[in-house]
This record gives sequence, C-alpha cells and structure tokens, in this order.
Amino acid sequence: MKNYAERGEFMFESGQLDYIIHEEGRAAYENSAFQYEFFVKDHLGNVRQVVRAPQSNLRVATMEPEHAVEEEELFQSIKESRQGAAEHNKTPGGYATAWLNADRGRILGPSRSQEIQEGDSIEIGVFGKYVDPKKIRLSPATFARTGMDRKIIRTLGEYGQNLAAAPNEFAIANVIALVIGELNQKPAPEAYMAYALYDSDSNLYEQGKVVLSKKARNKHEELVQKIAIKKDGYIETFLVNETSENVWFDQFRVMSTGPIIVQETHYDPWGLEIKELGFQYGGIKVNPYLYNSKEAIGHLGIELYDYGARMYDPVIGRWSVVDPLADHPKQIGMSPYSAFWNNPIRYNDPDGRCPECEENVIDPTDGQSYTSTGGADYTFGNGEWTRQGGMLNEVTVTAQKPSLLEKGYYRGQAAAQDAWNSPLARAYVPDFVSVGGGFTGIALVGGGTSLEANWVLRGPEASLLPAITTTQSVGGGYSIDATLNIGRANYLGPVNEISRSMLQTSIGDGQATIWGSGGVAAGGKIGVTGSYTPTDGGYGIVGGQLNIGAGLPAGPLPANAAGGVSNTFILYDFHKKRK
Amino acid sequence: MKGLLIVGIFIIILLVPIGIWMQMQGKERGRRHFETFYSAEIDSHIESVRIAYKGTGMKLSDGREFVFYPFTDQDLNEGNIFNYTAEKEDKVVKKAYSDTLYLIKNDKKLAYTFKKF
Repeated sequence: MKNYAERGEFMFESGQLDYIIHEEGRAAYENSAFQYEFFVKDHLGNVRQVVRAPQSNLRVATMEPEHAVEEEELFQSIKESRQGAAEHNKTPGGYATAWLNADRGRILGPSRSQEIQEGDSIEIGVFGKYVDPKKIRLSPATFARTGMDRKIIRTLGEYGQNLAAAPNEFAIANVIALVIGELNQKPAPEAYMAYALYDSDSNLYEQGKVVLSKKARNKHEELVQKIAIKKDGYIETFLVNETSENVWFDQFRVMSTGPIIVQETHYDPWGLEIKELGFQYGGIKVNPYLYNSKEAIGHLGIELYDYGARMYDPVIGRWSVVDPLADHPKQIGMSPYSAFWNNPIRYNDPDGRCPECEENVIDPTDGQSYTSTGGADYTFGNGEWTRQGGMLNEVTVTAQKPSLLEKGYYRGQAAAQDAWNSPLARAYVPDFVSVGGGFTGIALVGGGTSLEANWVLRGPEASLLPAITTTQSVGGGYSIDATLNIGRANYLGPVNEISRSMLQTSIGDGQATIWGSGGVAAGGKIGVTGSYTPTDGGYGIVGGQLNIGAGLPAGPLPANAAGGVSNTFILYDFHKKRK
Repeated sequence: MKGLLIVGIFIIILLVPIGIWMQMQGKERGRRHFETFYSAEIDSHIESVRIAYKGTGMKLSDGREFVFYPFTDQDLNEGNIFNYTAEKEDKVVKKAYSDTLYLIKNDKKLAYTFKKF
C-alpha cells in the first residue's frame, strides 16, 4: 500500500520524493533525476498540456568485441553475424562488422525489439556495403581488347546462317551495347534494414524496409528511416540479406525520442475530463494537477479535486460539503454546495470557499484596482468594485424602479423617438438639410462650386450645430447660373447608421455624388437639382435642392439642364468644436 | 443651344446606371474593409484618423490601416464621435472578431461598436 505526504511544495510517495510543485509546473523525480515540466494553462488555470524536454535513447550495435556484453543485451544475433573485416568496418578504430550471406546461413543480422509509446519518434539507421566482383568498367573497347567482339560476331554469324540475312556490323554493335547495358545494370543484392510495429496486443499494424541500393557497391551507404509512433506497443528492427552475395552492415542504431507534450487534458465546463480527446505519454509520472490547477485525487480511487477547504466532484459539478463561507454577503443567496457561482466558464475557486469574495483594499479611492485571488482585476468607482478581467465581456445591469413621472417621461421620449425616426417623418423632415450658395458654368462641359451649411437631424450624431461644406462639381449640358440653394437629403439605411462623416464625399476614396439639374432661366432662375451618393454600406443618400437666383437661358428657350458628378468636403464642423 | 439641353438630359439619364454600378462597387468594398477590420487583433497607437468612405480611416503606428464605421453612443463612448475624438498617440485595442474597439485616451476608455456588413 502506498502512502502520500506533502511538505510544502515537496510531495512524497511512500517516503520517497515524488515531485516538487511550483507555479509554472513541477519537477518530477524519476530515475534519480529531476524531469522539469511546464504547465500550459487556460484563463481559469486549467492545465491543458504538460511540456517536457524530450528524452532520447540511442542504442548502437558497433559489432566490436569489446562492446559485446553490452550490445548482446540490447540486440539479438550480434554474435552470430559478427565478422572481422576491417576493410568493411565503419566504426572509428574498430574492425568488426555484421556479415550477411544467405548461402552461408546468415540471412538475419542484428535485430532489436523494444517498447514504444504513442508520441515517440524512432529513427533507425545502418551503414551497408557490398562488393561487386566485376570492377572492370565495360565499354565497346573492352570487348575489342578481350576478343569478345569477334566471338559475338562469329556466334551471330553462325546463327545468321539460319536467318534470311547475315548479321551486319550495325546489328552487332547494337547487340554489344545491349550486353554492356545489361551487365552494368546488375542490381544490388536484396539486403535491407526493416522494421515492424505492433500494438500492445501484438497485432502488426505497420511495417517497412529500406533496401540497399547500388550506391552501396564497394562503399558504405547509410540507410535511415524515421517513424512516428501512433500506438503503444513495440517495434522490431532487423537487418537482412536474402541473397548469396556478401553484404556487410555496421553501426546499426535505434534512436527513440519521446514527445515534447507528454500530457494533454480536455475538460467539460465543470471539470470532468474528456479522456477520449486527451493524451498521456506512458512510462512517466502522471501530473495530477489539472482542473483549476488543483490536484486530482485519482490515486485514491475517487475522482475528486482537492481545493484545500473542500473536495470538488466534477461528475456532479458540486462540492461534497457545505461552504465554510456560505454566509458571505456575496454568496448569501446561493446554495452552499454550488460551485463557481454556477458559472465555471468565468470563475474558478482559489481554495474551495468562494470564487472572489475578498475585497482587501481598505478605504479605496476611485480608479483604484486590485487583483483577486480568483485572478480577476477589480476597479473601484462609484462606491463599488467592478470586475474588469475575464474572457467574457461583462455586462453590468443596474435595476432601478422608476417613479411614475419618470416612467411617463421615458415612455414619452421613446414614443417621440420612434415617431421622429419613422419612415413617414423621414419623408417629410429629411435626415440632412442644407442652406448655401454657389455658381455653375456649364456650356457643353464645365463645372461649379458651392458653399453650404449642413445640419444632421437624425441619428446619434444629430445636432443643431452645422457643418460647413464645400462642393465641387463637373458636368455636361447647359447651366450658367448663380443661385441660393436649399437642400435636403435622406440616407436610405437605418437611422442609427447616420453619421456626420456622411456629409463628406471624396473622389480620393473612389466616391462621388451624381447629380442632375434643370430649371427655368431667363435672367432669373428657379430650378431643382437631384443627387444620389452611393455609400459603402449598401444604401445610398438621395438628395434634392431648390436653386433660386440668376441664370442665363439656353438661347430662345428659357430653360437649362445639366448633369455630372461632384465631391463634398467638410471645411468645419461646429459640432466637433463643442465636443 | 437646344442641343446643349439635350446633352444635359442625356447625361442625367446616363448617370443612373453609373450610380447603380457605383453602389454595387461600394457595397463590395465595404464588405472587404469590414472583414479586414473585424478579424484584426489591434493593440496599437493611432498614427492618423480621417473621414474615409463616409466612415473612419484609421492608420496605426504598426503600419496597418483600417476603414470602419464606429457608432457614437452615449453609454459606450459618452457621445464622442470617433473621428473627432481619436488623435495621434491614442491607444486602440480590439480583439480579433470582437464587436468592440476600445479607444484609450489619457485615462479615459471609450468603447465603440461598429457597423457590420
């Protein structure tokens, strides 16, 4: 039976140091050394991942006799395949290799079987070499020197007596080229480094091999394979030569590296672990600090979290005993068994008594702040503390019962606002009105300018204080006049979107107002101008102006008409000055 | 001269489809501006503010520039129009996909929601 004890931050199991806990993680004592772990936490302190420096284990079969005892424990078939062959050795200062030749009963070379964990990465590697006895470089000249060409010609000539036509020189040259090609393409022996992965029930789920290529002909070729391990189980690695050719292997190595993330935990909002989504690397001490960074008492056979003052059961999302601070003013209306003020997404609980009960600042002043033990920032203002932190934006709702007079006032105000913003009211009283003056000089083409005072009558930026704007226009048609302009405009979208920025239309932003005007002119002028200004919100602004002043007629016809585009810029906004 | 009047009337008629086309372009542009701004994580200082596209064009000290349409509101920002309130060196903070931009001006923290497209 195990027993557990703690002395401050030192945790003991059966009298032996187990680990040292601290704010950022812990130092686990494993195999007479500390393994340092860092906890990745979310905003409530829930430990999501445990990170460690990855551990690597390298096993090498050098084949050298002085390492025989150690290597024969780590690998099989070391002794059976060892051969002294200094010219094929790859170990610095060594001379022994693994010599394989199927005809000599040496099919299987050194092999290793070892346990693996999900998350491991394995790298296996070896140097391999074979000797090609045909070291002579073949070419047509070689054939001429050795007399092989004459032999082939003679043979083909004898063969040709049975054919319709005798062999010619071109045909013979082609045959020699084919023979050379065939000899030079002699494949490397079927020798390889192989691996097989088995799960914990010994079911084979993956296997592979890296075959020696022609690069290994007369010199060492390094074979390397990297494998990501997806299941707990074990791996078999081995060297094979299936042929009767001599193959030498040396420096067979198996390196296993553990993962950086050794533990990943997912929870439901109340802290119940969702094990199907999580991950736990095997063979190490499991971190018990999980939900709210509290210790899970799993080793006692019950799934409870130790918060200090009480034990919390994530299965039912409740405390096992009554709250010692149940009569605190902040908790007086709550069940003494309920946890995290019934909002585990927003609150944790530092010690099992109250998520955020203490206000430990004496005589606070406006704007003063403190951080609660629950980790949230509080700011003092208007005689009370307001929570600032947290993942979710807080909405403060203040309930207040209005008097009958106030009620009437609010209702009247709302009704008046509704009426003012109704489509009917907007049709009669526009969103924008303007008064100003300007002149236009268009005869076929031309332009004009004007200066106006504008009032925004609706929306959150409505004001009786005007904005002074100037408008420049270009167009075509005929309109030569100087007029006083009284205008109106309506935004076609909702009232709350109306802003004073809508008074400005800049060609620099790719925007323009399109307008058309017409009127009666015979010395004096009276006319109207219609306009439409597209906006980026999907709704435009429709406007109209009454133009009264002086204007020239279009010849005998006492009228004028023109159309074009214009820009408007705010020169000065009296409302801005007020703010 | 009569011909000039006809030209004027012709131009007015011609401007109608141009206006429709401009409106469609503007809508698409507004959507693009909104997506850029809405998805942005902002924790920077203002370099400049101007009226842009009938809304707000805000250039930040980190080199980014956004166009958006902040709402003026008595409760959230004390009725301060963003374009007239925000100045160079003021801090602006917004989480990615948050519906609120905070303007921190001296000791004052003003919240602005904005038009969604």
